[in-house]
Amino acid sequence: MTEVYLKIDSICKSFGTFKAVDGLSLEVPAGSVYGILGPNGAGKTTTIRMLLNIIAPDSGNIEIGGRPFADELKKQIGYLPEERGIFKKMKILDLLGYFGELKGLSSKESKRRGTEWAERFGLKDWLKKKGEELSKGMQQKAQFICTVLHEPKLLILDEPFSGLDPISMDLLKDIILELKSKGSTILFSTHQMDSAERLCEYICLINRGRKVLDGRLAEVKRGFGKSSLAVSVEGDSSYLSGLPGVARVDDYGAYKEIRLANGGNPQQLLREISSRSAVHRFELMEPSLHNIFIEAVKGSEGK
Amino acid sequence: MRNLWVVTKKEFLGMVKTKGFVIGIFLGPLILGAFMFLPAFLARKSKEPQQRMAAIDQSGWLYNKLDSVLVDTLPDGQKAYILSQIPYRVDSFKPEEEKLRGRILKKELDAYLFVPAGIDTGASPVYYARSAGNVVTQNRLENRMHDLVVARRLEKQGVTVANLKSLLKDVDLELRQVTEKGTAKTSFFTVYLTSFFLVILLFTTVLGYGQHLARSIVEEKNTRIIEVLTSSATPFQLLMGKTIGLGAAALSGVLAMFFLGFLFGAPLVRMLEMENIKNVFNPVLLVNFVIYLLLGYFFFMSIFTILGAISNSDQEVQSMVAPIVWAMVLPMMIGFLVAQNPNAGWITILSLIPFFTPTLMVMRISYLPPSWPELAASYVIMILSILAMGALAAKIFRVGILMYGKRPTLPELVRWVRYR
Repeated sequence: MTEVYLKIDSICKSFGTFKAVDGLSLEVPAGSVYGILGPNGAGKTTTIRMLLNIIAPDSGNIEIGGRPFADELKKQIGYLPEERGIFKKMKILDLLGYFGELKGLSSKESKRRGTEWAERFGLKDWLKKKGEELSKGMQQKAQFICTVLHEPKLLILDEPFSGLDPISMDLLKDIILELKSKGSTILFSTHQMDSAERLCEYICLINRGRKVLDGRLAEVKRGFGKSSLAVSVEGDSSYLSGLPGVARVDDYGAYKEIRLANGGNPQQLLREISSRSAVHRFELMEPSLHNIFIEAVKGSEGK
Repeated sequence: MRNLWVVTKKEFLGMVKTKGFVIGIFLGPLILGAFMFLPAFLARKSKEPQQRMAAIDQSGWLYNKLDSVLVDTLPDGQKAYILSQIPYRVDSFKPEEEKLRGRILKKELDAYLFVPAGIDTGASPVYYARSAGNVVTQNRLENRMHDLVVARRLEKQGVTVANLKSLLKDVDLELRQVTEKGTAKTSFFTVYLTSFFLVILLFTTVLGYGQHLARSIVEEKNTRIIEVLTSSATPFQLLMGKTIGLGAAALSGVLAMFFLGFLFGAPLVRMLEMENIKNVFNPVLLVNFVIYLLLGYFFFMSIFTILGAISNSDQEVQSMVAPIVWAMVLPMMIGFLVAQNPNAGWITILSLIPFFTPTLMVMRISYLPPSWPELAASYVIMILSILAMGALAAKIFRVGILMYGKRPTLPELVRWVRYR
């Protein structure tokens, strides 16, 4: 296995009687894009806050680059919190200068880099404006620039895609991949499965503070086997969920994803379906991350 | 260390560059100047109009004498009073008075005076005027009539006095404050105004910057900037940077204000010969003002830090500010008692309680500086309280900046403080 950059070893954190994170362990390989997935309240943000040493775990260890967290490490980390905001009364250029300086750059250098980034994000004309004059989307972009200004070795993004339009979302994905190619390790949390599916090499699925499954995305999917069917038929298809061997049906509009029950036989199912309606598409596939997510979360809650 | 400097610089510049800061520097001395110099200035330059006054003299003797002593002139040399006599007749008295009132309302006349027959045996003369505010004229009339009536009484006793005015001259009690440097001429009014101004300046500075601090904490909390900041610097660096940066701004504002005040005030003091102002603004008071400003600043900043850290909105901060305001304005509420006896036991004790120390001490010092041991004791108590309150604030800040939603209850706060 590749070199591990970030190692979390059975961390726990409780707030009062509520266990937000309960014995979570994970290893983030250096230079990877790693997604922490989980439903709302799973403990993603708490985990991230512990990674950043904003709050301390009740127990367990966190190592970054083979060492426990130390203040010097802060300069190597870039962090984008889940909720967005910048100073209302501060000019964007000063904002970039301030955050750059806090990360150890000179004010001049951070403004120079900030201007370059602003050009890329189409924010250049707004550098002299105050935060409150920017639209919400532009504020998000400015905040993202603050996060990457110092070329962090470790980039931690909490729900980076929420609230972005598709164009900005693509730009952000490009930049994440670009930073990865430059050697940064990127860890982000999300509950948007499609972005995770397209970006992540590794995922860790957590629910109720515990790890449900983790590993290389391709391997995780392979683990579930080609146990899904993409099916599209003519006319009424409501009978699909009632057929023997079908666990659940998800409607994606153009096609339906059928999860096979244990021992479900695709060939038998094909015969059954073709006897009832004309089949436009019938394809064996790996389950979508969306379905893996739902099954894993439900499975972990059933126990 | 570098982060502390970066935060301090940002907070300082962020404050100093605002319009409000610059305006405040000019406004402070201007308001004080208005209070201190305007009365003296107006007294010199005031342009009162001529007063047309009628008099009904029932006594029969007073009018002529009054006419000969009421010879004040206006600054432009004109007579201040134009007096006219309305003869007194029993049968036409009522309608005559009606007529006079009518003329006053028509502004043909400013006032009329009724002199009763028994004025020298205790009956009061009555002054009828459109405006009750002309205190100068009322005082003059009263004084002159007083002199005339006294002279009349003396005459009746067989005493004739050639120079009654100098005989009846009032005794003016002059106030000289005894300080270590000898005696200095002051006036109660000046001292009172000065102490009031300094207390207000201290109080508004601390309150203004304190609320700014609390609001900026709330803003950083709500925008989650605080999380980004704490992933770059420690909470302690952030808090210290904010406090020191804003404190430097507050101090430079006040010093700039003093500088401007002296720059423009000194020539005015010389011009208006207001020696006593120089004596009131003595170095002991000014140095102590700066000391108590800083001590008060750091003490109340800790409290505002706590307010900011446990609040989720400006409104929540605002609702908790009132007790602080009350603590700080206490000296103004008991100002007259302090003036009477600045070193009374209970005032001494009150002024050693950190919440009241800064403002109350500044007020006391402007009347009569307490002994050095007492001053030193108040410094020490303040510094210890700042350290204790600061440590408490730092702990609450560290936890509070990451807590959203409900404001914590007291037991929760205690738990926050205990967190390692």
